[in-house]
Amino acid sequence: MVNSHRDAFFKNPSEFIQSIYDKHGAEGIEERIKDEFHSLVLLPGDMDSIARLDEPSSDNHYNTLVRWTAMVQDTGYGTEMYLSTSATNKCLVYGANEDEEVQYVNDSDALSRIRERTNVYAVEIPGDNRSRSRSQRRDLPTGPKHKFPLDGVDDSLGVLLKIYDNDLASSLRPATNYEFVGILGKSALPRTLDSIEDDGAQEYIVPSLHVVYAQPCFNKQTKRVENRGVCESLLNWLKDEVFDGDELAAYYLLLALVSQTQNRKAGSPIGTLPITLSYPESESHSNASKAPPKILKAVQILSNLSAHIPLSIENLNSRRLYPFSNGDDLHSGSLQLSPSTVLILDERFLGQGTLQDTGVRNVHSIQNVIQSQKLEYGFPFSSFAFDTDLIGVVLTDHSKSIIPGTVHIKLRGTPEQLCGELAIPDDAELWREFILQSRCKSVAIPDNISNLIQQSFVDERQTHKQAGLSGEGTSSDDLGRRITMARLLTSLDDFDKSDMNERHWGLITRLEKDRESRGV
Amino acid sequence: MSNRSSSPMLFPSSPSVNNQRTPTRNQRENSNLPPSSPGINPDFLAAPPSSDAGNHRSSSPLHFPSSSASTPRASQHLTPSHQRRGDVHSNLPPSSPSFVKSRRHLTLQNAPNSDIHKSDRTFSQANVPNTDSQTDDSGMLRVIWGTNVQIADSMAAFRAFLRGFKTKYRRAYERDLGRDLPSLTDQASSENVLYESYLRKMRFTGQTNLNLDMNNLISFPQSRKLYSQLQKYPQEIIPIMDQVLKDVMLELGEEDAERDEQRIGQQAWDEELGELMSKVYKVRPFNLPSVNMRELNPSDTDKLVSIKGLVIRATPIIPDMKNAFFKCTICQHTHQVEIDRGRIAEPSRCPRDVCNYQGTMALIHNRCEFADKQIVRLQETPDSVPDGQTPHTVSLCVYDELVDVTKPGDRITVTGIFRSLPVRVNPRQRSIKSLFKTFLDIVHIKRTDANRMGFDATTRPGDRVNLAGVGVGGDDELEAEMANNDDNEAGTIAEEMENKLVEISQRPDCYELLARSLAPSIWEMDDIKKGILLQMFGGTNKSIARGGGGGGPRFRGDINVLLVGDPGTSKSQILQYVHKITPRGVYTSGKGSSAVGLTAYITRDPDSKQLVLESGALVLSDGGVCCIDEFDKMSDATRSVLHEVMEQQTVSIAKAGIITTLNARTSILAAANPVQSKYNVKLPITKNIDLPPTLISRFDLLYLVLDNIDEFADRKLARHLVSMYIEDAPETAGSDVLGLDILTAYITYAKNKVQPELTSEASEELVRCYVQLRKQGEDANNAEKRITATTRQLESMIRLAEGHARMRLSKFVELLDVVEANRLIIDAVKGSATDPVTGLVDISLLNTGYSANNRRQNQDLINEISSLVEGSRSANIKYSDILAQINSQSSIAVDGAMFADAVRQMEENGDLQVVGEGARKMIRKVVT
Repeated sequence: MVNSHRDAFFKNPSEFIQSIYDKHGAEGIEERIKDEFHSLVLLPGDMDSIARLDEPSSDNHYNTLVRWTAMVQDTGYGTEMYLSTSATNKCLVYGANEDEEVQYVNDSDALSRIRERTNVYAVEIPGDNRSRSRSQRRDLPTGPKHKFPLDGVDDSLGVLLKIYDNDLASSLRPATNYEFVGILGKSALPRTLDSIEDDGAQEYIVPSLHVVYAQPCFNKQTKRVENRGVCESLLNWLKDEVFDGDELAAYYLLLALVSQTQNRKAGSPIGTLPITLSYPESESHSNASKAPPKILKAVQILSNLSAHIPLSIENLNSRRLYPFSNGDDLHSGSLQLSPSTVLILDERFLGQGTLQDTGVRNVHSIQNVIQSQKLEYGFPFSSFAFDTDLIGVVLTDHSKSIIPGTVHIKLRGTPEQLCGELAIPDDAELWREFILQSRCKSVAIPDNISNLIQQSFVDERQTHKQAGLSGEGTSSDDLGRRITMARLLTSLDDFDKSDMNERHWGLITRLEKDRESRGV
Repeated sequence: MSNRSSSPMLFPSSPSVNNQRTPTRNQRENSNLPPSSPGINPDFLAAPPSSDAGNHRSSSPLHFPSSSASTPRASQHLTPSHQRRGDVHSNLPPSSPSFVKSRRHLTLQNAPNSDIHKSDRTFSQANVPNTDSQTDDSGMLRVIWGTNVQIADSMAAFRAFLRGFKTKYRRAYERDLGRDLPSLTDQASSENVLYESYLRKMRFTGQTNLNLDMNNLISFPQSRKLYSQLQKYPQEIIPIMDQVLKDVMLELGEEDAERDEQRIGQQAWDEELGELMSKVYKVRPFNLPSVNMRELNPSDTDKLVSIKGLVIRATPIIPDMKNAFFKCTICQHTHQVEIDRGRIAEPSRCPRDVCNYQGTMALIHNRCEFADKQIVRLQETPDSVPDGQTPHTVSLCVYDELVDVTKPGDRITVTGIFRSLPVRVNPRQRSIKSLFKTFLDIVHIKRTDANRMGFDATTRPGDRVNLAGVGVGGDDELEAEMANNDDNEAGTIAEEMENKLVEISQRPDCYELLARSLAPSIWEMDDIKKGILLQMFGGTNKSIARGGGGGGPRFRGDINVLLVGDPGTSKSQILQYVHKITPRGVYTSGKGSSAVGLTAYITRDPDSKQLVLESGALVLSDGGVCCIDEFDKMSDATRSVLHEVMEQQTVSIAKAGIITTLNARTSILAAANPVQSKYNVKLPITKNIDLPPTLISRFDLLYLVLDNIDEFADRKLARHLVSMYIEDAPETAGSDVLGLDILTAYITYAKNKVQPELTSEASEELVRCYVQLRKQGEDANNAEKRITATTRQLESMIRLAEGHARMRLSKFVELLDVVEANRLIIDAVKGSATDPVTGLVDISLLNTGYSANNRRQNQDLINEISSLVEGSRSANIKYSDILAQINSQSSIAVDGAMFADAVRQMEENGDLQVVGEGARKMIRKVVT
């Protein structure tokens, strides 16, 4: 009974909605359909029977119920008004009976047929390493390029969400991932009045999803990793395969990968560890150094969300990295990424040159993301800052980064070994899960360790003073960074341990000393 | 449905829909032709070829991309030449009193009142073929179909309002609502008949627009009902009001003419009357409580609404056809068709009976009449966007006089009629989408604030413009004051914030709280934080209004602060905080700052081979705070620019033979490291930082930030940091701090709203403090004067006092402000301009690099050298010998540099001569 009911809803929602409309009328039909959905989907498994929008399939998904995990890109379209019934008294709510002819006679009866819904634009999650490897559906129209954050992706999916629940619509945040379930249709991107009246302007048809259900989707592990010693094997692989035997670099990269904004007290985020990896100068200008650094592949293997943004004078000046609007709709920028995406900024081929207005703003917004985890969206005459939570990894060519506030690590290996191909290790899946698990693990610091940390700070500064050394001793910034690192290191322990101990603190102190001794 | 109903005009319907409406079945059977081919529809063939009211020949409407459409409820009446308003699309003809009686009158047969009619809708539709209201023989239109508007009543009510409204009614109304109004200064003014004076003003100045404050309407007992009617049925009521306005204009003119008959003469009056008659008068209602544009929904369609927002774009003027001119290509007969609800009904055949050819009528463009139209995009203002959301926009259509009243960037409050019209799939097709386009037809625009975000308003002179849009009324003091009152009433986010900010300002510990909230993660350094806090508020910019060249010189109100100190003492962190808090803050490192450019450069540092970013910081931070880290590492070229910026507040750029002066009205917060990387307390500050004294003296406050490694302080700092990085609620420099956003809002608010003025009490105190500061340099035992303060310090003190008053959101600089400013200056001077040898404050240390003590020592040294040289027997004396001799005599050690300086001075004076190099360097007596 339930199953046939469910099938009717999932496979032929138009008819299903029409039957509800015939029975109860238009009053509160949005709520009623939402309730129906919730009564049909009770168990987590029930969701699986809904087809995925981005999965290839032989059937045509139009006018059926699909689910889709996506990043909200633009919440600025606002509401639109539409007729809820067709000329032949078919219900048009939730995109049902989309092909029915519509008639409109302007009287107050018609006014009661007008309802409103909210338009929100969503794109496939940018930099999603898992879905990109899957084959894409080709039968859906792709979204306009300016609405997708990353450059060079031509076939990105962009969908206009039609939302019938005001509370839901106002809870959606840009650059955040959600899972949506809804009825698939087609729609033109909303246009402004002046472009409607300009006959020459073409409309842009995109898939639309009439959302029945939505929930935030966090980047979390799917299963609990209970294996022991994962951290060690992962570190060894990074050290040997990626960094040409450089243990220090392996540690810093791993710590950076499990970092996350813990809180934002007084404007500056705590818990993040943006790093800069400085590549050695290559003696021979051979092809080996032109090959992509192994770290790019390694990050793709270890993190399910990552984006690589090569920085050059030219592309800094030409394409905006921050989202901006000229009054019509919100253009995306490469920095509009969902939380916990690894952002690899590649300064290796930056070179010298003049940054124009766009370039200056781009560098400004990169700095803001790295230092404050905030991204400003530009609107005419105003801008709005949104919180981000990106993991910053900067690659430089034997130089400091132009972005202040990162931890500088000079790589030891030879350029030939640091670049090139990288084989996918067997444990990749396990490691990825492990990193996700560590990222959200909570860490406790026992009182004795807290005292140890404080004492070591006081001691170091005292020794510094007594030695009469000039220059910087251990500054408060150094202490803050060490605490963050120790905390991240603790979270890399096996699943059942969460207390920081002396070993962690000792290791971090050693790593920092090693790193400083390497210089710039 | 009857067959007749296939004629679109038989239905009260939106014009843009009419031509798309699916034809009824039997019509389709009759003519299965595309509806746009002219004159084919047999129904229309039967229609009488006249343009009489209600009989529309509308088979092939020319469609214009126009928003002009409405729900027709009133009758149609085509008078080919009359003008009508683009914004309202009313269908009532305007008329003079003489028309009123002869006009076609309509009335509705049903019960006279109101909403009951909604249920009779279909009935009246069926029975009233081509008008929405009905005529009876007595010829009086009573109620407009579908509304509760009784035309005669409404006209009478508005007439009474225009002729009887006095401000006392408004005052009474406001009082009833419990709003306090300032007591009347002029009792008589409240008895004036306000709108009669407006009307006279209109007549004298030839204006045709009357701005109508809707709150006045509701305050006047007889017109109270009009308020809600106007809100619900604007397109019926506004034309009625226009009508009454014209009637009253004429009446009033006549009355005035009678009174002044002798003076103006009959003929003059006739001319004036003719002029009045020819004009179209428009009532522009405003002051409706504004709603957020997100709240507009289908139920607001065709109602009067008011929203606020920021204009982000305006189209060029669009010609909107009002009257189409057709000519028959065969018989040259001309025919005019007026736009009717957005459409022109193109005649399918020549209306002349003798001709009557089909499809011969051609549009003659240059004889058509057009009106101005403009589409404006309005975006939500940043303060009304809900947290975490992006702003929404709506489109506005503005017509006639309102075109080009607003520019992009203006903040406006508009009153208009909310429209939602269906969108056609294709202009040639009948079928429509289920989607609607929504917009507002604007009747009134009011600019709420000419200030744009993030700027200090005083740095943008000459931007004050008339806030009212067009027309008469609505800009009086009383109304402005009422409008302000209303603004306070509405509970928008901005106002909530404002109340919160005012609340903060009233706390007794406001100053401490704000200082504490600035960089709460940085421990202690309270005075430095306070100084920087006042810097962010800044003093007021003063300019001498009269004088040549558009306003004479400006005096800077910006406060500059320099932090000097050991590395790793959170100087950079403070700079970062300030950069985050101030609206137009720019953070740059002196090492790579080109200061002037509008662009930035990435260059490779020749020394370190590192890529560095050079940005044109100063220009970017115009009106904000420019934070410059590593100030001492700035290139000389940049530094020379800073001299100009810090006093004149401009930047001169010479490029391609053109010299331009750009504004760089910015406060500078700089941080510098000591020369020897660690501050040497034994040396004066000028020896510690590698900066020319001329530049140092331009800083109002100079703070030393020393890293005193102190076990107790370190422990406290460590505990603080550990708690911050580990626990959820870090222990800050005090538990009670304000968030970054509130602090930013507070500073922006204070900078924009408060321009404190000096009270006489405060100026006296300023003088006293300054004199006292100067006096400290006097020493009874010493003829020489130490300089403890210069006029620069006095100016600084004024700026700081103003900043402090601003922080309190006080309109006046009072005694306590000066006291605090004085304290901060003395503190800063004590730290930075203290001669390390004498321990006395000497401001010339900063100004010239030498203290009075230095100068005295130098003179002593010169005297000693000359006596040694004089006393020597040989003409040449070894350089090193003299230094050794002096050191053996002197009680304080004379170092090589000091000695070399003294010798150089003597050489310049021609007292002696230096010859040789290295070990053989000799001093030779100059024989005179």
